[in-house]
Amino acid sequence: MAVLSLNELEALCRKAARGAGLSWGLAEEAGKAVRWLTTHQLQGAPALARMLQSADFASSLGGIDSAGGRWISNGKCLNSISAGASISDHARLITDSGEITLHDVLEPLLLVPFLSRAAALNGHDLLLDFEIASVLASPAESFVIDGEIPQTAARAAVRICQETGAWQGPTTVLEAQEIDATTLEQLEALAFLTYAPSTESSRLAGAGAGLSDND
Amino acid sequence: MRELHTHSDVNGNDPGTALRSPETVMRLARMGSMHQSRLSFMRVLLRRLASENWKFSRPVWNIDSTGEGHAVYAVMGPARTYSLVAFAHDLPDEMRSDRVIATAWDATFALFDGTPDEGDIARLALNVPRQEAGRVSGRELVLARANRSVRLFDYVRRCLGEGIQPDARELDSVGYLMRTTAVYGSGKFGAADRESICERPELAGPFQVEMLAVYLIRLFTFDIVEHLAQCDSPSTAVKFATTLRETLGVGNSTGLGMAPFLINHPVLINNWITARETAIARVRSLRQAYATEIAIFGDRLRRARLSADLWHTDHPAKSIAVDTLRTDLARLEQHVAAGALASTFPWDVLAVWAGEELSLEGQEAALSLILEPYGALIDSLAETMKADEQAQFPINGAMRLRELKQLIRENYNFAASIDFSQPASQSRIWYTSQEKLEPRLGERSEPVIAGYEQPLGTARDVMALLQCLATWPDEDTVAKLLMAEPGHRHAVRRAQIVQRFPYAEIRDNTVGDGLFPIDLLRCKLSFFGATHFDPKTDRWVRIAMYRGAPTPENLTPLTAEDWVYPRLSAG
Repeated sequence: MAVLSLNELEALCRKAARGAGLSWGLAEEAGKAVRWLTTHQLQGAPALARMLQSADFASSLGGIDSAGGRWISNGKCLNSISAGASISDHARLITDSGEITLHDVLEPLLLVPFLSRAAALNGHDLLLDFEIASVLASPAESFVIDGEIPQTAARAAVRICQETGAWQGPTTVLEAQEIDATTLEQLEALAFLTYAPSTESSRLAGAGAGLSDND
Repeated sequence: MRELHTHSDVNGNDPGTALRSPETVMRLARMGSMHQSRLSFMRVLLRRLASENWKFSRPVWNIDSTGEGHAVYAVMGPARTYSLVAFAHDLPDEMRSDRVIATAWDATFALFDGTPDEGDIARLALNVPRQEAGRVSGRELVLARANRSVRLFDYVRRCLGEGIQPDARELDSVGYLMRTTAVYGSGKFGAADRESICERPELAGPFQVEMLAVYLIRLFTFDIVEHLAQCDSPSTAVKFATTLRETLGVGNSTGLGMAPFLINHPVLINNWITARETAIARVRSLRQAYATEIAIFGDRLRRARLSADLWHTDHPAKSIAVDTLRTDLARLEQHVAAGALASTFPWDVLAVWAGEELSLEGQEAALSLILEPYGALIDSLAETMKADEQAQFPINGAMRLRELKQLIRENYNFAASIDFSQPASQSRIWYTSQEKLEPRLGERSEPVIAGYEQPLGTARDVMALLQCLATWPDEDTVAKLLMAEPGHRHAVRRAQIVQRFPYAEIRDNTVGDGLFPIDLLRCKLSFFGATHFDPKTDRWVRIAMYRGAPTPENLTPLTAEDWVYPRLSAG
């Protein structure tokens, strides 16, 4: 086990997501998502590490077909950072009359921060329904998880939930969190792919030194 | 110039004086000419420490005659105590390097949240001297290290040992005994996240905790030189005179590691610039300047000239810029002596004159100087300089592409004239090295690094987005675009942020062959309150921090107000 500050965790996840092939804009979303999950005491880092390492992940990078509100990967399955970011992007476009369905989602726990953000942007409670489990998120960043979120979901639906009353979800923590050694190793290996190898010329030119500091 | 005011307030002031446009302010050449001001973070911190009467002590001094050991400096405010734990090392000259690849330093530091016990000290002793190779915890707020200015440190040590005070001119020629080579906060290497402490009033402002650490490090630099002189020559050594100490600051040596910060924190930089520009606009809107205000301005201007005289650099371009600054300040003084402040809207008239007559260094120095008499009018703007980047992170996916195109054309007009198909327009590449995981700048032509670009070429990336948008219908949404084109997500986010925060974006090419990375460093360091920028290369700069600042025993609301500009000698 290692203890990472939240900033370290976010940066590590951002780099790992980039190293695994997500665009910088989506990699930033991955860092924020894991940070959000961690501050809400959910195991975001292992979920991200599993997803980025999944054999099907690479095929999820080719975009999403969203015809008719059915979101289907152009490859084999949806990754939940791309799909989550799209849920957030569509937040103000989600209405009472329609729902979004996501098909074949990897590590849907990672959708929860995006659902929360979408609820805040939309102004209504939003429900993420996996049939065997569900997540309800309020515009005030409260959420409740009912059941156990699976590691893959054949189908997940996002819709506005009108009939909920006042309710309170978990609170946030603002301290460094432990991360298990395997997850750390996996994320660091992916993050390493964003670092350029050193050469002597880059070492000197890149940082701009080569001078004596004994003055 | 200002005869046509029609919207004056009851005092005849003009509340509507516009802020300078982002197209004017957010150019690298101007950012690379910025000067500290009343809103700089060191000045904000000392104002608070003085007004709240913070108490300083040194509960531990456990350093031997070779200069090895540790010390603790405690500072107690109204609600909390912070402690600088300093580790002193006897560093051989051949190991001394300011660069991030160094593995040993003359001194290493941690700012501890509270009062450390022996267990904390033991834990820190195992980790702090190793810096990046060690780990600290959420009890630590800052991790830092410093190296001696060998020449000045040895000179002062020798003088004090011989029982004499060092020569003031020698002190002025360097300006510090030690220079920090990194001051890490915000969760680095396991330290406390900023979010966990930013609700505390004393740490809410940007970089207040780092500035506190450096202020305490400055005390250590005085004590360690005095201690070593005492060990060298117990029978003759004297204390280091406070008046001389106060002329020295802490140096800082900064490379590229800091450069991407301004690009990576768009809302924060917007808020810094907005605060300073608002302060400038408030002063420019004043209908008249009173004699006391003109006197303060005149005093600070004369002393700013002294400060410029103390500014030494061997960097060819900066050396010319500093010479020009000296000339500019002299001209400004003559212009004011000739009655420039007698007109209505005097500060506005002066600013317009400076814009037409002075170099960028001179203009920015003049604009910082006109703020000096007006603490009551502008100091509270310091509270607007923090930022919640997180709140601005979500993309508005409901935005129509028509609006996105429009706002890009409005805010990235500067980029439209750059031909990014030309190699020179993006010959540079920002990347992170495997070696120290630090940002570096390389040439795109180098094949080894070409695939590792960091997203720091915003102008180019937003122009690529605009090109992509040409094939999309105006009525489509950003959400739809990003589903199909996830590669543009970063650029879309920036474009939407700059729509809300006009100073969020550097309106220049950050990957072109004309880039001087030190311009980015200078802007940030000027907001810290640094003076005497001394570039060693185009990407490496030394500065002085707290030069002239009161030591704790002399820290009062009065001295906290007035220390940046050197004192005029009597007569």
